[in-house]
Amino acid sequence: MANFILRKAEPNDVSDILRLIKELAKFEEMEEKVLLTEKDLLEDGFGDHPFYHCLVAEVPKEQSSEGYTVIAFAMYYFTYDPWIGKLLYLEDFFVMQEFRGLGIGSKILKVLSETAVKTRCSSMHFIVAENNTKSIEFYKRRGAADLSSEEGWRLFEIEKPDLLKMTSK
Amino acid sequence: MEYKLRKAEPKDVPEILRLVKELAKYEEMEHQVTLTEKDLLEDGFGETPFYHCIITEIQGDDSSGGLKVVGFAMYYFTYDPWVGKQLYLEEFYVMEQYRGLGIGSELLRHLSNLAMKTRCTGMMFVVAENNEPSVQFYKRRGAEDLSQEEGWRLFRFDKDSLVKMASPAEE
Repeated sequence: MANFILRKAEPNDVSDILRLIKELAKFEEMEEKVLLTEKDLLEDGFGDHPFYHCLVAEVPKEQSSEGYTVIAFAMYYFTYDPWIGKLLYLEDFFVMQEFRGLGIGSKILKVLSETAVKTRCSSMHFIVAENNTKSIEFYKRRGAADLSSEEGWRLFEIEKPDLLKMTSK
Repeated sequence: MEYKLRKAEPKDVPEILRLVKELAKYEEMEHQVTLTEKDLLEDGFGETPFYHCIITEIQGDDSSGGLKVVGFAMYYFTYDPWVGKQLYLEEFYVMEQYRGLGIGSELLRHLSNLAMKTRCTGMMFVVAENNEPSVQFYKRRGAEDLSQEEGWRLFRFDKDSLVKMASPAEE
C-alpha cells in the first residue's frame, strides 16, 4: 500500500501538472495537441484570478521508480447552472499507471466531493468519452448519471477561426 | 427595431431570473429553477463572480418609455488542459416576440469578441440533441458537435452522491 498525501497544487507544481496532462493526453493518443506551457499554467492557475484549481497526490521519493513524487492530479473549476447555481466541474483526472489500484483515485474524488459540498455546489459535472468503459464504470459505481443518455445533451464547440469570422460580421 | 447590448448590472438580476424561468418554461422545466434573485446577486456580483451576463434592451412600447430586457447570454470561463482558457456559453435566450431581428447573432458576435479579447481558444456549450433550430443556428456559424465527433458524454454527480462520497466509508 503506497503512502501518499493529497494537497492543493502550488506554483512550483506546474511542471508536474504539465507532465501529467501530457501523460493523460498520450494515453488518449493526443499528446501533440497539448499546446499549453508551464508559463500558461502558472499565469492561469496562480495569478490574480485562477481559471482552474488542482489537487495533487504525492508519494515519498523512494516509492517512485522514476523519481517523481507527484503521481496524480485532478484539475477542476467552478461553473454555474442558471437553475440551481454553482457547480464543481472536474476537467482532468489522472493517476500514473504504476500507482493505480491503491485508492488514490477514490481519495481524490472524496476530497473533491468535500470541496463541492463545502463551497455549496449543487453537483459535480464532467465529461467522459463514450468508449472509456473503465472510467464510466468507476463513476457510475459512485452514483454518477449519464446526462447525455438521460437528457440528450450534446457538447458543441466553436473554434477560434470561426469565432474570428463571427467577430467581423 | 433598435436594441442595445450591455454587461448586466446588479439591478438586472430580477430580469435575468425572469428570462431564466422563461427559457426553463420553454423546455417545460420551470419548476426546476430553484435559484433566487439573492443567489444570482451574490454569485454574479460578489467578490468572485461565478457567471457573467450580457443583456439586450429595447425601447419599451408602454407609455413610460422605459427600456425592456428582451434577451440575455450567461457565460463563464472554463479551462482546457491542452489549450487553456475557453468561454463557456451557459444560457442564451431571446424572447419569442423579439426573434428574427438579429439579436441572437449580435449576442454571439459580442461573445466571440469577448472570447478573442480574453485570449480564449474556443467557445463551448451544450445543446439538447432534439433542439434542431438551435443545432442548425450554431452549425451555420461553424460549431462542431463534439459529442458526435469525439464521443464525449456529459456526466453528473448530484448532491446526494457527493455527500455519500464525502462522508467516511462505512465499515
